[in-house]
Amino acid sequence: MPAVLNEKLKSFIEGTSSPAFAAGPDLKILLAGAGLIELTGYSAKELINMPASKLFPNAEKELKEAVEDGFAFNLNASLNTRDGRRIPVLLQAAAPKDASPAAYAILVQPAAKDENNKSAEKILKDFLGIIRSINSSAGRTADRKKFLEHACENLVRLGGYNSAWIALTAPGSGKIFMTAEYGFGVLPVEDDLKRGELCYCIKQAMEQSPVLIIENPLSSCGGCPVSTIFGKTSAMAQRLEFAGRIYGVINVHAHPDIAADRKEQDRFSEIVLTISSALHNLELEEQRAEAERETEKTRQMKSDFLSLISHRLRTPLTPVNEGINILVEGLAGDLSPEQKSIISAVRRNAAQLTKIVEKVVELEKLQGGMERLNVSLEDAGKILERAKENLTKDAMLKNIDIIIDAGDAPVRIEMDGDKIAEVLELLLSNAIRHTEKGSVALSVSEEEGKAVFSVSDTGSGIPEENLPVIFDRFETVGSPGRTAGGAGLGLSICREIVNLHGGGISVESRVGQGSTFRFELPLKNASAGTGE
Amino acid sequence: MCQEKCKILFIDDAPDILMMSGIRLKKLGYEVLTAASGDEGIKIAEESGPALIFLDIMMPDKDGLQVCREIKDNPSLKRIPVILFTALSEDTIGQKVAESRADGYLTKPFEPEDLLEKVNMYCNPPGNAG
Repeated sequence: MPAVLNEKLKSFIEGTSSPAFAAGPDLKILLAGAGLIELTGYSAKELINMPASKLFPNAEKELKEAVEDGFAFNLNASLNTRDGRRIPVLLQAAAPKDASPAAYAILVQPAAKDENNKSAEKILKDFLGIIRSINSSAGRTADRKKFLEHACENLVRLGGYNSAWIALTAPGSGKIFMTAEYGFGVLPVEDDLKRGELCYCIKQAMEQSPVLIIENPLSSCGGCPVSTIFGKTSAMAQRLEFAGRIYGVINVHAHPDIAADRKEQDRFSEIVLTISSALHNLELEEQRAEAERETEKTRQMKSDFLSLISHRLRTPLTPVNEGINILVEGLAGDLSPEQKSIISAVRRNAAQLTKIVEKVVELEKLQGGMERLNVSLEDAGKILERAKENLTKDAMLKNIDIIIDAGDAPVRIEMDGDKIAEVLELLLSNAIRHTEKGSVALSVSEEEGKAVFSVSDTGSGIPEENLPVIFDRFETVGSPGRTAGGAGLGLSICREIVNLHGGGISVESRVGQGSTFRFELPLKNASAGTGE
Repeated sequence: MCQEKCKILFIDDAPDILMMSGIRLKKLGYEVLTAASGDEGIKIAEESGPALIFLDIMMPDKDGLQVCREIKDNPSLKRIPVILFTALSEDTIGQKVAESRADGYLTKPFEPEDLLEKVNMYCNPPGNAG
């Protein structure tokens, strides 16, 4: 009785792009796929009824034994082409369950390099090495699919299984959302999964953690996704689990002797654990990348919003300020004394408004991480001098002295000189504003690898209950009765700039005696240019 | 530099800015031209050949950077200095000046001396013209 070439087998041979053929128990070729015709150089007609031993002369004995055995098998062999070349190949074969007598489908895969010379242990080591290398590579969803495909392929090619199938399940629902498979006889099963339930062994494996061994799975369940046309094999299935989270399930088919071997089961479990931990790492990587994308998106939105708002505020201020200037300067004609005093008041308030707009924009930029430091090695004493120079006029108007103490040896710091000068000027301007007579003092000194700056005044001081909130925005220094013209943003800006340098700012004050603002900066700037 | 009366062109979609920015310069003897859009500005520039152009960036229809590129690509206009006149933050403006091949920038709101500095850089004081 001739071997039966059933429809499933036929469509597999005709459909696969890999070199494949079907043969009867006598190992004569019944049907050759396009890939085999191309690989061997024989025509389809020449291949029909050709003994497989003509293609694989060195493997004749093993092929015969394997076929008589009745099991699916993997076999290393050498292919003789029509023009006399020899190509090392891996033969994977199986018979469909419902063909009698069995017709074998044999897939001819190119052999992995030096596969014959590798010890089983080396193969396993290489395999785990490959998985670990994927482990460390970053992962998005597309890469996860690639990882699964890679893992399945290596389970078959290096791990020695006939086929491998991995399914990932969604946390909670347990629904399969991604699968990968490799090996002979494995057909894409996503449609099957969508239609119906999982087969018995997969369901069982999902419910327990040890390896599940299923002998001849085709008779015991409704059809394994990995064994659509496999003959006698055993399946090993285990759920993919790491750190208490179930990622999915893996199912491989192998010779029953392998599946029954305790050592082989342990080896399989170790591989499963490696894959699980890789999936865990890929998931963590995905979460990290996602969080990073979100942060960047938020930062960008804030930045866009801020530039729009600042544009909207500055635009109307332009004609307001210039109009006032023109009137004050008399460019539009002479003003009466009363008009002059009115327009002077308007000018002061417009200037104040302009300043607040600039400060709000600056503070938003600092707090939103949009500001970058421009760090270089600077002499702190020179920065103090610069601050003093810029505020000398204000101090002279109130008859207040500015005293500088920069120590004997110069203090050199890695900092954004312009920004630290701004901090000093803001503190100094506050000090002058709140001091009616006496002096204000600026100092810098080096203490334990840090530069310590201070700005002291002999002014009105700050009530104790206000000290905790003094660096918050729109908290004006002092009592409500004497806001002294501050915008309430300067100290917030100071704090942000100092923090950006990796330093800290603090204040000590006694009502009636004065205040001292102190800030310290590391001499070496670790966050140079990162703005974080 | 200016032959007769030095002409300065302001291109800005905000009419109050156009009106107010010119007053000071008119008092100093400059001829001030105004345009409410980039296309109108280019037309006026071609007709009257200003010595200097102040150009707003954020305008509806065509933004100032595009207008500046068109000026710099136009053989009869490319020698006229263009100052970007903008309310955008200073830290992004340098790149925009380079991108659009402008000659400088003036931020809004401006101080009178900053406006005059730009004008003096490119135009002789009207009294000394010729």
